[in-house]
Amino acid sequence: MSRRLLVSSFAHENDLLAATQAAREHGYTILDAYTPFAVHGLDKAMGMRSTRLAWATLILGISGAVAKLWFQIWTSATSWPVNVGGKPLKSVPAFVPVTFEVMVLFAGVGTVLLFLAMRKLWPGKKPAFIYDGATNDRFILVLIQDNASFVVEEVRSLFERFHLVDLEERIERV
Amino acid sequence: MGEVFSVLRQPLVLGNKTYADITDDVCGPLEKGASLSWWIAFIVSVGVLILGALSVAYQVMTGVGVWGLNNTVGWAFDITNFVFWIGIGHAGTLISAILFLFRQRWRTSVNRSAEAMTIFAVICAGIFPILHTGRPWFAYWLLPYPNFRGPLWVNFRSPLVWDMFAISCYLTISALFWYVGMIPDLATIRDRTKSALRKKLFGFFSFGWDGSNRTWQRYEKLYLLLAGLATPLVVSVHTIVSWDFATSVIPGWHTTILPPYFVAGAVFSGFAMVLTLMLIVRKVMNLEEYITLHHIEQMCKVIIATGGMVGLAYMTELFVAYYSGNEYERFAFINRALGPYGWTYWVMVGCNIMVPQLFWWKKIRRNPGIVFALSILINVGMWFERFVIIMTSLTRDYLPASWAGFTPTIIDLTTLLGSFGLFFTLFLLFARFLPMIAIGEVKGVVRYGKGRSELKPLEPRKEGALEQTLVG
Amino acid sequence: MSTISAATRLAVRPSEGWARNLSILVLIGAAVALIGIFAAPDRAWPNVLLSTYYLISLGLAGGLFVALQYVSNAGWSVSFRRIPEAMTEVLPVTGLLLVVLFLGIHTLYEWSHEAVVANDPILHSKSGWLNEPFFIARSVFYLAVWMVMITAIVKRSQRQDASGDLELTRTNRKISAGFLVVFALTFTLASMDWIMSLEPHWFSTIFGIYNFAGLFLNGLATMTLVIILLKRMGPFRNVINDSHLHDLGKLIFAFSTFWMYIWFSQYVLIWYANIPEEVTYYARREEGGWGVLTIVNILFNWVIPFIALLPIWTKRHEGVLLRVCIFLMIGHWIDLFWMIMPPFMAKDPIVGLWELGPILAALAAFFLIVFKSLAKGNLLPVGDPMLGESLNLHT
Repeated sequence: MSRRLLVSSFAHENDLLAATQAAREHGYTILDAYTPFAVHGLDKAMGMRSTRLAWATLILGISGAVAKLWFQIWTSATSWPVNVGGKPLKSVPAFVPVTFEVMVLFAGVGTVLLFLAMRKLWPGKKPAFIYDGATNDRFILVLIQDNASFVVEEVRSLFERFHLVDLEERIERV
Repeated sequence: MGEVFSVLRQPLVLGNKTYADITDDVCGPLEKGASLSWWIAFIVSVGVLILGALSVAYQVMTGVGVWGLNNTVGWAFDITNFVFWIGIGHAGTLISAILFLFRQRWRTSVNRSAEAMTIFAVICAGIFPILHTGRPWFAYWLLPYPNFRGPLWVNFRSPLVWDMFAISCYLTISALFWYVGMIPDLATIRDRTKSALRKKLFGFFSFGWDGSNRTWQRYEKLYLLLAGLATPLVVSVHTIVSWDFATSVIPGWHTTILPPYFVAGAVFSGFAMVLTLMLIVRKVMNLEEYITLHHIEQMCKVIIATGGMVGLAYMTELFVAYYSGNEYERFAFINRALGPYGWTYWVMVGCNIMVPQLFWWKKIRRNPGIVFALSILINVGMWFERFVIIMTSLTRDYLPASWAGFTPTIIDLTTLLGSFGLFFTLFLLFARFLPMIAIGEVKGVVRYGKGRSELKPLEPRKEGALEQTLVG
Repeated sequence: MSTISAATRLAVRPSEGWARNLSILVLIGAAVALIGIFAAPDRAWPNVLLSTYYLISLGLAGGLFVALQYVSNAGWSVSFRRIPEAMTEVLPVTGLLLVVLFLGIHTLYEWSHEAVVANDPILHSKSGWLNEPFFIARSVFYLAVWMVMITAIVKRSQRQDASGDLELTRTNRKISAGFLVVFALTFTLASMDWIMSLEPHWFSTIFGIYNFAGLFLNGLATMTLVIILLKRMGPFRNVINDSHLHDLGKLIFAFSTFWMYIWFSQYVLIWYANIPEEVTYYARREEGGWGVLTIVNILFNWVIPFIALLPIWTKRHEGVLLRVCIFLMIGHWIDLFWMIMPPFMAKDPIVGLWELGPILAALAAFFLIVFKSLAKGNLLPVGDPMLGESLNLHT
């Protein structure tokens, strides 16, 4: 299987934003955009749903906190109760600090791992294909030529209004 | 669309930089050979580090007796250094997380190196409690793991165990935050470098980052979430450090203001260290258009604010010692100011209360030389603050019969020095091999405060006009 | 871009009936308080103190918010700056209330009885600070300094409407920085004088910060409440968008958590050290009805606001935010009640006529003064160089 892609590059994030908007209005299928920094509002222009990463963080944090609180009570009051300085065995105020730390640890580490897994990023991974300047000063929009009515020259004339820098066709094997 | 900037806003990046210029300015120095000044600094730092390592080796082989501790004073340089270094770290998290949440966009030029500073400072800090245990090869006993001694668990009601959790969690999250923030920049280096080895290395560590906007969207969220987690975390860490002292019943240690006071003091000292480092870095690495006088000024203002909080805490402690009507409380503070270690108290007051007041003058804030000197004084003052707190309360507590003094040995001093060697060695390596400025983030603010909109101050007092627009 | 091209006078005109109803509430509450002072002085005086302190907190929080925005060069908040400015107008009234309070000093403060002090070595040793003339002088001084500095800031802000002079912003930045320093010092002492010395043997160094946390949290909540009301009434409909609400929500969320942090810091240290001169404070507040109130206090000031404002959408949601603000305003009253009342109500907290009258009067007076003040001048600081940023806020 392979698909034909159309790679257009721009020199300014506002041009990319406007071009993305226009491409969507004309019904083209956007594969992705590649930019050197996060462009504010681009996800809306591409019509992306907002991410639910925060929910994962919340659940991770709560489970870390609950587990650690239970563990502290279990070690201090059940497994081997030791009277230290007359403090009660189930000293909940004294268990708060460690519970909090472990909550943050679970939530932070878990969210990062989840992010890497979701976006399929790992050490040593080769980027699928590198667009020249996408990590420097070029703003790239990639369209999928997914139907017969896709005419490259139409796209070119549309994007030229937004100061198109370069247009290139590629074939991607999937 | 587009942002509106008031006429009062100053640009964050000077010079008419293009995106490519920014990449070149930050990555260029990494691709050239190291400068002479870098080598000199590096060799000196490594030398000092070796001195420290030898002292530590001697201490580990002989025992903590080589420090100046005695029966009464069981905490001295080690814990002072520990609190000092942890405090230094806090400014990095403040810049990267809290200023991010407050949308203070000037942070973008300094956050990367401040975060790196955090990690290195926490590493320096972590060494001291481990050495202080006396048998550092058993340091893993601090962890609650199933063992054949019962299992005997750590005492979760002890602030020292809280500390262990706080520091390790803080180190982990800071490192994650720093690294996640650096991934896009590592990819930038990967894509521009000519050397095959660097391409391989940075290719490995950049996780296959390609700048996809679908990734960027999650990445932005991740960054926000990490900032949201790091903010309470940084507060909790120094709070827990303060509880090492405040949960006791020792006058001068047991005081309820200690948590926020320690947090403010930590940020205060950390900002002084950020200033010290940044003033060198901008000069040596030619980054004056990125770390501008405006940035220096902002950091000076943070120092005034946090220094003010520290001053307020000093005064509150003094006042409440009187107000308590408690003989021991009162004595602890009179002893602090006028006792045998009184001079350290006045060094602390001079450096932490008097010195920052100079930053009220704009002329001083915009003079890098003076700011540099003052930032070092504040570092000194904050080291003494921890020394004062520990020493004055320990040497003279409830029982006059057990009063004692403390004199540091040469090993105490070389170990402290060695920790600076470690810190600067790590920082210099970082400056040499990794992007010191968050390239992607700076590109996002390059137009900030420039190209001002046509908005003028609005026309005053014309009855009716607005009400119509509002109804419509 | 903004819908406001040529901005101008935008006034709130509360209907006459509304102002009259509020005035009636003030009168009823004040009458109850007055009767209470004679009928049940032990219950009425502390509540007059509570209500006065509540009002002072609101006025101070307004000044503090304005000063913080100037010092931090904030642009986002300029469009609604008139609200915190109006809140500061309650301060003159609290001056009057303070004078009234001096009449109840012997009911309120154990240390004001010379006979008690003479037989109590601890109170005796601090009588250089805790004595009647000095206490009164200090109280007057605190309020006077706050009023002078806050008025200087607010006056300049209003003057800028006509001239648009940038210099006024620069001067206000300087005065604001000075005010923050003065506020930190004086408010720490004031909270200890007015509230902490109700139990004069007890002391806690964090007390001023704890009171500041409550003051600012309640100030933010009340300010947001007024902003949302103005948005619903019309004048702010196109001025305040959900980005502003989001930022306000974030601040409330953050300070609610800050309050909890300070609360816990004080509690855990006293609980852990467990020494008699301190721990009596919490021992008294953990028993019976007071123990319940301790929990309710935490629920209102942190648990509920924290959970409610955790997601992004609720911070941008007018209705949720409004309800949280109301919770927090009640929460601050509970917090003060929890701090002030235990020495006067040995067994359980009681809420009756003498408790509700004074706070009713205070709240009604607050809204009356704020809306009267807002109706007087420009609702937007039209001369402020940062107004454009605020009106175009998108986050």
